[in-house]
Amino acid sequence: MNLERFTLIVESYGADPQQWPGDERAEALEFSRSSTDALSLLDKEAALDEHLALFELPDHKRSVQRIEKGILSALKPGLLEQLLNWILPDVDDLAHTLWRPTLAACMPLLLGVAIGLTLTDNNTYELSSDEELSLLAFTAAASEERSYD
Amino acid sequence: MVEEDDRRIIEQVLAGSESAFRQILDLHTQRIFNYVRRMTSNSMEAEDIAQETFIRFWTSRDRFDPDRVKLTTWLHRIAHNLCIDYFRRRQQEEKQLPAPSDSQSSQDSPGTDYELSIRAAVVHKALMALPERQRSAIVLCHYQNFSQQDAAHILALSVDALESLLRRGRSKLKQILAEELK
Repeated sequence: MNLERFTLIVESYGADPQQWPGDERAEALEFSRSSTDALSLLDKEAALDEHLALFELPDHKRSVQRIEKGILSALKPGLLEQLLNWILPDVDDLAHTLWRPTLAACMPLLLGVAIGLTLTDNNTYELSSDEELSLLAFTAAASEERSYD
Repeated sequence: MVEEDDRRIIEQVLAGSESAFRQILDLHTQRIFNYVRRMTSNSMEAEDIAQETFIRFWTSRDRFDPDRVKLTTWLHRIAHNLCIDYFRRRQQEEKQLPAPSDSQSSQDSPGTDYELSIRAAVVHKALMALPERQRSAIVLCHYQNFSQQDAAHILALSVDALESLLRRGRSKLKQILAEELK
């Protein structure tokens, strides 16, 4: 360590030895104890360090909360993406997630069955007494025709 | 490069785990915000840049290699690059705007921060008067306590170049503060 290198270290990193390069710290400290030039240089840089220490930041809890909230909402996937993520099975856990695409594939079938059942219910039709009589008359006429034949 | 717990969280993040990413946020948001806050004029700008830093990290997490660089160094590097982009954009905007009149220029700009103490504001003003790279070097080494190697990595410089930046930055700061505190 010489004065030139010590000057460069102190003028770059300041008077606090903790800020100095780790591999040169011990040598620089020893040099500072043996040189009056080094001591006056340390005093000069310590004044700037004190000024820099004045720049304390206020408590930023709210800012940090806003940042985290903003990040998470920006990364939140849309509805379609969420649906696709749910449907697509996890490759690492196929056994437990394969039912999801299977269920999705069965949905049209289930929908068809539901529609079919709904339509069947609508076709349930009770005959009125007049309609029953006319149907019986048709049946009777048909059996008479068959007997003539 | 990383502790075992950190490595586990980082591996989960790299695999796309959102809950692990939340842990990263809890651990690093304050520090990144402090860096950006000291680099920019006010909290709102700093919040936007800090937010963008983590979104960039998440969306390009496959580019992060925990065996080569520490997570905090990587995040600071993203934040630093975003700060540089921000300053360039602002310079272009200022060029396009008409020059302010004397009465306007003597007043604080809308970006000026009122939350800092007077003494802190004087130092902040002096720091803001430095070229961006000198300011960044001082903030990284003095306030964020990065080692020379990590600070040099963030700024994409050699350690010698970092020392040179720091020395010029501190020298200029001494001049500015001497005038401000007369």
